[in-house]
Amino acid sequence: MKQKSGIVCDLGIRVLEDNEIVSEKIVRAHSFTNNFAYMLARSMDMVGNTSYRNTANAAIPACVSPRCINAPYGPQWIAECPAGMNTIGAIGETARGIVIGTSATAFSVSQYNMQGLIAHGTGSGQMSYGSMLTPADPTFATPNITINISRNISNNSGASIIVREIGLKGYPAYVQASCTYNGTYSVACAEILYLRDVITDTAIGIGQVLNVTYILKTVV
Amino acid sequence: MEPRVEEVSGVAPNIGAAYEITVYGTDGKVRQVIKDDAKCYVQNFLRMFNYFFKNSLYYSMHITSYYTTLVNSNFKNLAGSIISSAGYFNWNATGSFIAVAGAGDITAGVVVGSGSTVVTNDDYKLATIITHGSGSGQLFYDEITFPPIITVGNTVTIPVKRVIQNTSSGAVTIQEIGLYVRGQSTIMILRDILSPQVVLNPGELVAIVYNQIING
Repeated sequence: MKQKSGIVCDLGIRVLEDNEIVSEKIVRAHSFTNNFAYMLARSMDMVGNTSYRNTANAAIPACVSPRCINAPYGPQWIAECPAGMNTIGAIGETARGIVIGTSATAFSVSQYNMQGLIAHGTGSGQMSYGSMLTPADPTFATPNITINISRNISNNSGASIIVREIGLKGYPAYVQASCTYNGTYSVACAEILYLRDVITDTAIGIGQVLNVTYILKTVV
Repeated sequence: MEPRVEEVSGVAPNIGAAYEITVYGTDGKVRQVIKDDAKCYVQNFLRMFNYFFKNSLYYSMHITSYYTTLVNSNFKNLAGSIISSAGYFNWNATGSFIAVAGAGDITAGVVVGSGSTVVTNDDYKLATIITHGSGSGQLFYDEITFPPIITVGNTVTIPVKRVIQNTSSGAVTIQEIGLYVRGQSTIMILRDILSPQVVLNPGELVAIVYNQIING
């Protein structure tokens, strides 16, 4: 069957040991949660939707009219509806970026969190998250355009760990501003799950590295 | 080493777009309907998602926490010039990818044109936009509306709609449609060539819905 035009998302799953590939597969992601759609809608309609929910299943406040903030060079108007997901997690950070888990619970678009997140660390059942790896710009090879984002996650614990779910979390800001001329402002962020995929059991042995890559590309 | 496994299957993209065009005659009755998948994923569309992954806030030099991470997304504006994120998401911009537009505003939302140049992914504007007005070759653009988001199973559809009327005295032919969004400046993220084209006679109106479709 022919692939319809659009953007497809593939999920690359690689296990490495001593920088050698132990196993590798690419599967079509089936992972876009409601949050991804509502993030897109929010950036366009500047309204927001109560279905846009954080990992505690609480609604992200709807957008409101732009307000002013006390910027260094005088008041500036800002919107309470900034776009984006902010997924570039740092080393050890599981509030944003590609994350992994142990749960095989089936995917649903209404899910708002990983079902069995593997914590960062070297203790039992934990893995060490590297920083997110992203190119500075999409790759353009006419007619296709590709974006890759990836992360290496190492098993430095004392036992093998089975990975059954992969997700992408973000920590976007939504602005809470209360401002008059030279007033004050505050910024709040929310931990949000945008993508989640259930994969076949993938064992990560002691000392092995799991490299996960989400690949967005156009099909025309 | 285990063999590389390819399991790519299915026909629906993870992120797609489609359009619905309904032409109403002067008697108010529907005389033409066009529904098709969009085939028009220009570079700005992918750059938008690249931006989404990396950012969550407009350019803001005074907020130093990590959620203000900003990466140059190299959008092309309507002049074809590369604009930096700082240029597009100026820190006093009121939003990032705004499709909101009032009547007569063709700097955001659904726009139409008379050009038939084949779509390529480096398109950055409609080939020949039809301007707002009642003069020869012009059309009257109503405000952008956002019909309710539709969720069916694991598919979420985000519609953006505009009604456009021919208040001029001659027929106007629409051969291309696009979706413009606005930050500090305007960029085009979708463009499609219509087949068949739409001939809008005096007094007629057309409702155009661009659907962005997220398949879970």
